[in-house]
Amino acid sequence: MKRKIKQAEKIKIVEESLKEYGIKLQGIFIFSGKEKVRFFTGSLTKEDLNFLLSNCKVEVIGIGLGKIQEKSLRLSFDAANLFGKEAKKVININEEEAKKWLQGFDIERKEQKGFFIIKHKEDILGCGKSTGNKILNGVPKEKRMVKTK
Amino acid sequence: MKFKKDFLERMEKLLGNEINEWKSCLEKPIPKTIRVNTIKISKENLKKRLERKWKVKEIKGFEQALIIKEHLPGELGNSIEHKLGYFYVQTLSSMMPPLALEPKEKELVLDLCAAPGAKTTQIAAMMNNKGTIIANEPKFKRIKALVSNLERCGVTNTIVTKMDGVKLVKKIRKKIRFDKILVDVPCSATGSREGSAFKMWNLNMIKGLSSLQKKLASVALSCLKENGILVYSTCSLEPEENEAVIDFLVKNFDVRIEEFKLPIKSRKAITEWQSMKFDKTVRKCKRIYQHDNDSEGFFIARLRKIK
Repeated sequence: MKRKIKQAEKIKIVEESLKEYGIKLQGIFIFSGKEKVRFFTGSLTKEDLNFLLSNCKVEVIGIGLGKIQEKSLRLSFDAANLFGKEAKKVININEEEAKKWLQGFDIERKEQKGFFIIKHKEDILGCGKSTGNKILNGVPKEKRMVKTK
Repeated sequence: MKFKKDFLERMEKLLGNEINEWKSCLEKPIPKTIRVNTIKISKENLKKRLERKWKVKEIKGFEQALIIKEHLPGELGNSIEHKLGYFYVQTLSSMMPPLALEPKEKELVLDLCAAPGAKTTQIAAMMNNKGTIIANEPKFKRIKALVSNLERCGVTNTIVTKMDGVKLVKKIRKKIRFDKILVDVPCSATGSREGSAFKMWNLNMIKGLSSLQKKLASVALSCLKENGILVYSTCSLEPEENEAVIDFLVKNFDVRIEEFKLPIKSRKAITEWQSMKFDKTVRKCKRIYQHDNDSEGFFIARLRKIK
């Protein structure tokens, strides 16, 4: 049975993971469910935020930062794209690999195990999990490129 | 394009001898315009990239917009630049209400009818992802598109609420007051370039919408800070949904209409319609017809709350 991670532990995992990625963020982390993390840069006071949460139907706050998986933060496609420009935990891929990656295929690559930001030239193409021999695809379906003949 | 007789008569009254120019504009496909998402990319870099695929034209006096020519259907939305949130496909006229709102970095902004998020993402970019936006949308289906567009465009300063606009304001005003509010109300969409809006048009619907619009705009004023700005906009050309709503606000609340500048062609609003006579200051609001800029028709008003 999986052990429930406490909020303080989640914050620690997120902060350490971001440090590993080389991403500096200033804002509020919001945790929902077992693993989801959101990030908010708004200037609303904590008091006003709590008022909104208890009086209104709040659907989402800020951007989906990612998920806590295997005691690490797996960045979402959009968060990686937004914050990954200056990151250091990056795997650079070539044109052919980028095409396949955006179509939803894994990339055959020998890399250190863990989560990496995937970069092609100046574009950040989300986050992928390296198993050691390949990088498992992390492009959500709605972001995939339709294969053209 | 076919129009109902009553509708056409009204348009003739509004446009006079420009009616044929307006009609022929509606026969043409609308040029594809995009708004550069400056949260993620500069206009220069995006233009350079897009020029490798399409013919790209700049718009004089308006930095954030580009016209894309010679593209195939669906190509823009399926491009890598779109998926990475470098731009938003948005009509030129619909980029105007946020310009009238002039949101600033530290402000607290309410976007009362936010989906699908074109204007919310534009406001967030103008605020450099600082301050706070509360973006509301009551319909579940439209919330999905709103959230997806906010994520794609890298918006981090926004809270999305899913409530009836009137109910949301009544709850929120107990504690929170906004610097700026955008009320881009549900409307008949007679400013659009699609035939469906004209097929659905009928006077009862316009009357019903006008009453909803008055309700939304007036309740929104109750959670605006003193001296705060409310921008009211529609993509409708119907005076009942536009000037009549603003006239109602001016006559019933402590607000004043302000002048504002836009980078595209617009006209002064009207002060008389059928048996109605509007407050003279209503002229400060702006009407945009489809043929003015080969885009959509819009109505925009900027109000300042005095007390």
